[in-house]
Amino acid sequence: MREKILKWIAHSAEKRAGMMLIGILILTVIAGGLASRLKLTMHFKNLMPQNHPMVQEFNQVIDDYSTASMIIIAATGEEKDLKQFADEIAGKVAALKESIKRVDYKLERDFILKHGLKLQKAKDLKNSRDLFKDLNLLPWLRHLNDNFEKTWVQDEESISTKEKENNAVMFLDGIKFWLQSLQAAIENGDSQLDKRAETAAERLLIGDEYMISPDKDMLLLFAQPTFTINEMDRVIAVENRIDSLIAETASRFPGLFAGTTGTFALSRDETVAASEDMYITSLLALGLILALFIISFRMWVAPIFAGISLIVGITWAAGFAALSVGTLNIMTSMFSVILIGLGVDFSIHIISVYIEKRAAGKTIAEALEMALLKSGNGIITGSLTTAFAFLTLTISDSAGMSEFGIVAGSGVIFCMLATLLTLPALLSFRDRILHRWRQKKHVVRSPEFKFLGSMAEAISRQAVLVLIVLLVITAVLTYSAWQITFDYNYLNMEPAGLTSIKLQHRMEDEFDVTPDFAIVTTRSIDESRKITKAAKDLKMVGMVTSISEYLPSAEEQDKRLQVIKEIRHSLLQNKTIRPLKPAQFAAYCDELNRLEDNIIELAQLAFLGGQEKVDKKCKEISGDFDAENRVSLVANLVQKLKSDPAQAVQKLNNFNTEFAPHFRNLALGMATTTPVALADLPEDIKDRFISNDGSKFLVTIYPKEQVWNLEFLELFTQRMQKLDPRVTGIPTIFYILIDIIGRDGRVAGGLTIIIVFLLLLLDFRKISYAVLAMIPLIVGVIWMLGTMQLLGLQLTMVNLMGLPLIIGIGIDDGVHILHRYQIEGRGHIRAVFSSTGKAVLLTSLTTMLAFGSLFFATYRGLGSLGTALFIGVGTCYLTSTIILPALLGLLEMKLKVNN
Amino acid sequence: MKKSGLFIILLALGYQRAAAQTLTPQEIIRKIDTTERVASSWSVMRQIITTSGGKKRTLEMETWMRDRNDKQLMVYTAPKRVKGDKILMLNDGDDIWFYTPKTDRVRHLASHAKKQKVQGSDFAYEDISGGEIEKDYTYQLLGEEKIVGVDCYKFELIPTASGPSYAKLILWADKEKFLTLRIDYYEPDEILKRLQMDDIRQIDGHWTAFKMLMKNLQDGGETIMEILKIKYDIKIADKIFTTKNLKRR
Repeated sequence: MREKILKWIAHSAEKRAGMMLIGILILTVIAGGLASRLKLTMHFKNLMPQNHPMVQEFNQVIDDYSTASMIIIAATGEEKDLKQFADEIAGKVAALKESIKRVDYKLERDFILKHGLKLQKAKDLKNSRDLFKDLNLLPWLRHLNDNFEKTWVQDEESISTKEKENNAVMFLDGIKFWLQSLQAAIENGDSQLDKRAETAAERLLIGDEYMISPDKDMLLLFAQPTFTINEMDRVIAVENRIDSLIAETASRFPGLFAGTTGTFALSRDETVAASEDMYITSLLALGLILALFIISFRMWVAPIFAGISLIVGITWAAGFAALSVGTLNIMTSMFSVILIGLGVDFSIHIISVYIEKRAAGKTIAEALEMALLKSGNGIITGSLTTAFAFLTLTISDSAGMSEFGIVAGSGVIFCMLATLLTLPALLSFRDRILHRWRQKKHVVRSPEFKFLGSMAEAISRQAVLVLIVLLVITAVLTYSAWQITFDYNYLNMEPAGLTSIKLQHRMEDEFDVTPDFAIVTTRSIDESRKITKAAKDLKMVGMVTSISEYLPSAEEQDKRLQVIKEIRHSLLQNKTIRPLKPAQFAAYCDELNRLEDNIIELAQLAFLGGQEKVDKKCKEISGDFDAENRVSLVANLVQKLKSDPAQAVQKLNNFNTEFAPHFRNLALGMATTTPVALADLPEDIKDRFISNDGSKFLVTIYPKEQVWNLEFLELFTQRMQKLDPRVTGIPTIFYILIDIIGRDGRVAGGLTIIIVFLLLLLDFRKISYAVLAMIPLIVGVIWMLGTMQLLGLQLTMVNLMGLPLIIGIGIDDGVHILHRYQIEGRGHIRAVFSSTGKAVLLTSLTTMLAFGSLFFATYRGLGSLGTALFIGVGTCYLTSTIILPALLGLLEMKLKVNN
Repeated sequence: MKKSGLFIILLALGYQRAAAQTLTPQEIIRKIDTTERVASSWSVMRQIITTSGGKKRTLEMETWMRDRNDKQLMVYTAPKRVKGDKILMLNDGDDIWFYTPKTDRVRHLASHAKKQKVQGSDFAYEDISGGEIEKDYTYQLLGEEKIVGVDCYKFELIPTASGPSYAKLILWADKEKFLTLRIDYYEPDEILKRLQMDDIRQIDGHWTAFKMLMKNLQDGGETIMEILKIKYDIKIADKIFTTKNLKRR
């Protein structure tokens, strides 16, 4: 049957080449039209089974909460520049009315100024209530110290969570600003005293109004788009527009660096990088392969014909992909490179035999028929084993894997068909034209690689020795393969060097906020409250944000209101500001020294406890003991005060005359005794936590540490699922995805081995040949993993796919060699490897070049797959060309002895 | 003669085993308490804290313990930043004091500090403070199990009202040395952390775990405590364990 079809193709190519080529062209134009509809999406969420409840919940969150995906503008630089930049860029971005709904970059000041105290825990309010008792200089500072000691120094757990750490940093930042204001008042007299005192009071009570990092060197703005992340064209256009606005604005602030980050920016960058990767790596692969072709065949036309056949095959495959899957993802985006590497092999086999036969004096018709008959079977079996290996991936629940199976599996078949139909027609067309023009016989050189034949023959003669050496190497590489580890960090698969990723890393360091959080949606505020509390009780959780943080329960509000009433009463009672008496000056300086001691002790406890941000902030105030010259704000202030006590008392009193009323007014404003209700919450807080239809509430749970080690990721996912089975979020989705890919990868790998073996059995009709073909493949895969480990490479979510792929690809070398051996017969190992050996070498090299080109992809996940497959094809080639002649030699020796 | 000698040795070993098998849970617990609650000790230790994110911190300290671990003094020796910082624990960890030479002040930590982590490590103060199984827990012998190839008694310990804050502990102790080899710490319905003893050596007649690994099973972090030097049954003056002494350089 196969023979008949191949003969028909050869005959048609010789007689009706023009007609065939026109038909192929028409098909290709139609497929090209379809292919232009293909879309690209590079988020790993798209690899998940789309009907998985966790993915559905995640998509629902994106739809339900307009703030779930925001464009983040991040800037780094000097505090003053950052704030000015923020004010300018916020206006410009907000002006993009069609695309941007709102830009948030400051605290909800009005809400905090009205309800701030009600948002503090009753215990903290009790610790700090004395601070509002007496706003005169000495008692106020004494109470500040009492509060400091009770809250921060004597309670080691006070900074044990990220949230508590952030609160400590905010408190210390307020103290730092107050000390600086005091220092300025002492040094500079009365200029801007009122403003400075007001800001100092505000910084102590509500903190910095800008979303600025504790170190004051990074600032964030959040732009809420009017569209979702699924509208990729708009994402790219708006991200580009905002980036150009940022560049224009930032250029006026030397030393300031700004850009966009977050899910939107990352999606834009990933998509742009993947599109560029797809074209660049495809062109690189095609160029390298054609160069190899030209060098090895010493001719120009054959490679061009192979390239044309390949382009036809890939276009057909892309057209089919557009019809079957519609969108390319992380895994399917490199299908063209894979098809270039695999598809060109078919041309190499046909051209090798065709040229060989033409050189032997055969006519075009004879050479075409022999080329198709001698290499066609190998091509069809090889392509089917590869295609079926890919198609087994369709059993996966993971959309990424199963779509890859469809796209790559069908692609290999399309490339095989395109080559079998196009290449003979092109070769026939060309030779007929040459024949007509030159009116003489076209001379073709024989392309055999004699040294491959000699090597194979030598191996077959020393079969036992070679096999022992191979056994030792395999044992070493098996041990090495066993040691290979898995890289679970998905960020290591993202493109390197992107501004969005750099800023994201910086943001993680500065704010302890990562996009790697868990999300739970609840049906009521009470449920949010319960989940928030349960999550906060987990030691692995660093921070939880939910509406309950702004809307304490009635019971909590009652407890807090009791203390707030006391505070309010104190503030209303003690209105008189009495000046500091000279006799109290020494006591005041002692309290300042006590404040410094408190800060130093907190720094020591924070250092021992690993709370770096608190330690750093403390050192900004009390100086660094490790530095040669410790500069302490407090010590400097005390020194300055003591240099002229009389004047110091006067200036301190001047400062407090301004500071105390501001502090009292702000505190009184915050100490309202009416309970806070849902209606009181500002719109941006409601937007953040309440779904668009008002029926659901969002709880976001941030892990204490980076989740990207499997042990912690597993623990985190399990705990989150126990907290609420509806939990979703990037880490939990990723954990499930790893699980699915690992499980399906194993099943697909096993299934591929069975299918490949059955196909080999069907093809060779001899179990011995099927087993012979499988041995180098299995050894090749072991060598591949062992070599990867030795080179320090890790398995990743993307290159894990390489394992079932290499089973389908790596088998081809053995298939071609054994087919030729079947045709040539016993005692012709040299002949088999001289001719087919060259084709096998070239096909392996072309496949390696194609996969190797992925090494240059900016998308590192693709690079990891390309590298794994590059190594895998190489090891499978080596095992096929060393093990097979050794085993064939051993069999021949055995048969000789038996005979 | 040789045969009968061997017979006697075998008989003696057999008798010993039979004697061990007849120990009551109370007798075993008392033996464990006796082994672990030493009269006094001095040691140099290294603490390596690894967070779940992989960040590592190493601290070194000198420790004095007395009255069967009832009184403890830890003096940090490295890194330079914390050199001289001291923690004094009295009354089985009910009173904890912190001193740093940088301010020359002694701070009494909150009364609930006992169940808190020791300086960001995975050990709580109550894990390293004294205490007596017989006094602080009700216990039940669950059976015998091998832990890293060593035959162990397996006990379930439920803290008494005055005992530690955990819901329950599962403890494995070496059947021959009566030394704890592993402890699993539980919250009401789930395991919190696991302490594993390693590198067991006999020093001054006392079996000692030179390496203790506390694995936090809630957040994936871990703390290793290594003993670099240790001496037992030394004379330590009362004044060492006073807040006044903390201020002495």
